[in-house]
Amino acid sequence: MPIHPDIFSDAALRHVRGGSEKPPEQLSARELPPMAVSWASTAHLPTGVWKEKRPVYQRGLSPCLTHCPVGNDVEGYIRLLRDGDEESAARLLAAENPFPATCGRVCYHPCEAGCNRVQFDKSVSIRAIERYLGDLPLLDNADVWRPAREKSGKRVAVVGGGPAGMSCAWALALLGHTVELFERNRRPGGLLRYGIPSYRLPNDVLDREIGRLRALGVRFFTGERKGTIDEIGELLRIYDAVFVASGASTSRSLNLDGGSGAGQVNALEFLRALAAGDQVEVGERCLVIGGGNSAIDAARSARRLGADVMILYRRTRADMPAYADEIEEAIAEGVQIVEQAVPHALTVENGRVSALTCLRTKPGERDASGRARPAPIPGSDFTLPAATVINAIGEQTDPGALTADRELRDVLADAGAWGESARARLFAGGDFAGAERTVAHAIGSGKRAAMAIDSTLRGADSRALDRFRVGGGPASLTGYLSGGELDLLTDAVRVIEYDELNPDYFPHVERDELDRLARGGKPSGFDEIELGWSRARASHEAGRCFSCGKCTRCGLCQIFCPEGAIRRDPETGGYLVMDSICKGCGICVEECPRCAIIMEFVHERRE
Amino acid sequence: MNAASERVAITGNQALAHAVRLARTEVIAAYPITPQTSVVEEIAGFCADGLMNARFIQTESEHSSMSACIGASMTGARAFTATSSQGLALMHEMLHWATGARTPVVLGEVNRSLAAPWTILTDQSDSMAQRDTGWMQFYAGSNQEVFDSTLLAFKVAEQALLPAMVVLDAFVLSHCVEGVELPPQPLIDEFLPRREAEISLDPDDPHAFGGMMFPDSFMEQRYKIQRAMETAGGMIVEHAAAWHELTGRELKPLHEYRVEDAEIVALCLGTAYGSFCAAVDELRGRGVRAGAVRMWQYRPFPARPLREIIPAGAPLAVVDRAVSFGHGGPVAGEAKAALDGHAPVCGFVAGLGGREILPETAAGIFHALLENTAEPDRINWVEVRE
Repeated sequence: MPIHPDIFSDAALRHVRGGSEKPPEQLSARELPPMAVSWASTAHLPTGVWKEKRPVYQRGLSPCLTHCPVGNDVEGYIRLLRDGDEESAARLLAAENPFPATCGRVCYHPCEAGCNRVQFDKSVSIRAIERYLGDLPLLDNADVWRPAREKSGKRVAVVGGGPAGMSCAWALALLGHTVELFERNRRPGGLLRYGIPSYRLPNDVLDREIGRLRALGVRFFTGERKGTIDEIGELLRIYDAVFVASGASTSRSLNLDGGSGAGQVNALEFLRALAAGDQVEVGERCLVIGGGNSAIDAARSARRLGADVMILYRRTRADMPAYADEIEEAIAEGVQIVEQAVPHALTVENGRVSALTCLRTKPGERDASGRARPAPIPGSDFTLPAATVINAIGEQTDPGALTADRELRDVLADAGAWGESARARLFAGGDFAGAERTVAHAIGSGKRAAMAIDSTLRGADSRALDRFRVGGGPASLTGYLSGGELDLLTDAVRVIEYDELNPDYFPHVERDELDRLARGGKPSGFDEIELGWSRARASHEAGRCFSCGKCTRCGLCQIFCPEGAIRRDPETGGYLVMDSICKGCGICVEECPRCAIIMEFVHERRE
Repeated sequence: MNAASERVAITGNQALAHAVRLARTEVIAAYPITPQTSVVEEIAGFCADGLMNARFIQTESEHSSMSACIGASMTGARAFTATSSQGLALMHEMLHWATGARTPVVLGEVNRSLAAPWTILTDQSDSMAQRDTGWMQFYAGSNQEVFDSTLLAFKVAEQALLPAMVVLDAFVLSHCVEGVELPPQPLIDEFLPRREAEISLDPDDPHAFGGMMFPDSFMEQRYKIQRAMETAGGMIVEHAAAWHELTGRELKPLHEYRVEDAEIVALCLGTAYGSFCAAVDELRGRGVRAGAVRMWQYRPFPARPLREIIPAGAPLAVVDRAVSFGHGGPVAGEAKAALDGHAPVCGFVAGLGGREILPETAAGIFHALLENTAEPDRINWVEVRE
């Protein structure tokens, strides 16, 4: 409906549009507009000078990023998926991680523990989303990974084809170097192939990801053990740099009374034989000793071979270092856990193990970490029949097997955070160099070493490398390739805590989980137990992400700004604060659901 | 009736909601309160079902509802809210603002008595308490009139830049089902096109609205509101005629029943009118020439039509469902002023807090006039145990 001309006269309208020709006290009521409205546009009223603080759009860090040992831009790829750009999401993931499909299956997802959503309902199922993206066929496109720089002409040798070595080889290839990788086993993969059972990580998934490294130009020499002092010395003579990541695969000894017999095996040997397709026999009753992930993997594998399996652990279930959900799944598959017991003596009949005598334990003195050391209780012995005893009390590195040279051994054991050693051009990483023993840490370690090697080969100052850490944590290869020009790396970036969010804008949505093959009872084979998601489920779960610290263009700042001082930036699609108008009230900051805006003092404060 | 109209059986609250939908209202901000709740529930449903292209804002109070409507209206949007009783009282500050800012917000007001003591039943004390806020007020007598009044309210409001209230009795209209004709959308679009705001809140040409005004021009602003009210009176007649043309239904400031030759007349607002018409028939059967008037348009106050309708010298009983304590019924006082020197007026107060105004109640009021027991200078309380 048009306004009646008697209500809003042309004369009054002229005044509003063009400014008053007469002072207000000379205007008739008819010439005045019906509402109190400024003659001039308030775009010219510099209310901005009132402010003490101004709102600044920041790119805060989601805690998932700093919790990821690999350095994945977790929030970034989830946001792209949520916005419907699946391809960019997968590419962003692959830009920091050569093994997304693998990590999407076996990573212990510390990102989920760091997720701010934990304090709201439940964390986002990040690992499941990663798996969905990692499985997308588009990652096999040749242009996903291209050497980002011209060939450097430098050659690097990588010793060890596990996650650390392969990650380093991948990053070095992207950085333009020629990489040759030596793996003593018949096939590359290290722990991923020979330590993790195929029901958790099928061979074809691993082979696909390794195949991409080959396509990128990494040369694999398998079945070749390189590692003695002479060999490393030789490698250093031939190559411009050497990276050693030969893992930690030597089992600790149980030291049992009663001698030895057939049926005793170390967990990693057992798993390796299974993975290699060797003939593996397990007796009807199988005891697994230990509480770590290898113990669980061995127990569940033995269960799949038809055995009745018990895990013997010296502390309680809650103390087991294995991941809680793995323990739960093992129990669901029928694995029993005997808590607070240690093996004491082996009974061997006719050269074969037949039983294991154990002692109960109680919490004893506290060790250096503050945990009670389990103390065996004298006279509490009990005997369990066992045809197979699997030792899974832990693995260690074996630098002795690597090199007899004590000096070199010490140099390698003392490698720094970027893999650098006291010897020029020699680097080390992964479990071998004391990284936390997870796949994610190994990948991160290899990536960091690649950056350090590249930096050395180019004659750059490797002390400057820490500026490529995201929020002081994981290193960003993308950031390194950009020469530090990645906004994630700016000094202003800090991790956003839950209390800084405005959760009023987020609905409670139930966390989705990967489906599993039917649980319970005796598992029959080594088929993968987790099933992947459809696009719809992955996108739905991505929709739960808060995007902590990131502007998602939700527009609430613009809606709530009482001054209309916030505008859409046509170039970036983001928002601009008109400094001349913004009074610094901070309402935009209060309303922002994800703490993407902060207030900063306009002038430096005088103390 | 328009041939393409749909005839449905709905409550007064639903009639209000359908009018808001067909008006293509763009912003609805509301807070629920009995007996208004089903208005906004219905509208929220329309929005959720995609039947309306509107922004529905569930606020945390009526004060905010009105504030949101004012803000929306200032951007040029067609805005609506609905409330009752305490909710309307809470809006009071912003009702003045809506008028002063000249925002043509339309408000569905379901009459409910003001507490204390608590009640949810009807009288007009809540809307009468807002008579000086500069809002137009239309008191509906049927569910159809609720519907029709709402569309007319938008039309006049946007042309006069004045906010408008459509007022309906709690439960008697709000929750009772009647047949209502819903004209087709094109007909409504023809009657009520998109709002055209000459000047509005626009980030691309920002102006300050409602800022300080000094004595040199504040009074002129107030004068303009009164002028707009006076102009609106003519617009209402004009647009009611257009509505009649389109739908065959009448909207007029005063409805009359057998008044022309009446020797005594009673005037009321809202649904009590039916009881007075019944009493008129009963009295006329006994030879008394009684008549009844229903005031649909309370603001702007229809003083001239009232003088034209009420026969000169015929005593008039004005029946208020509200009290201005220490004075009298609000409508009675104004009718007395309007009819000064034309006809004697006695003020009655009846039907507070949901007490029924039955045909017998109406008859009692006529008898008080006839028997000259009604006092002209004080409130005549109807059926009160003194």
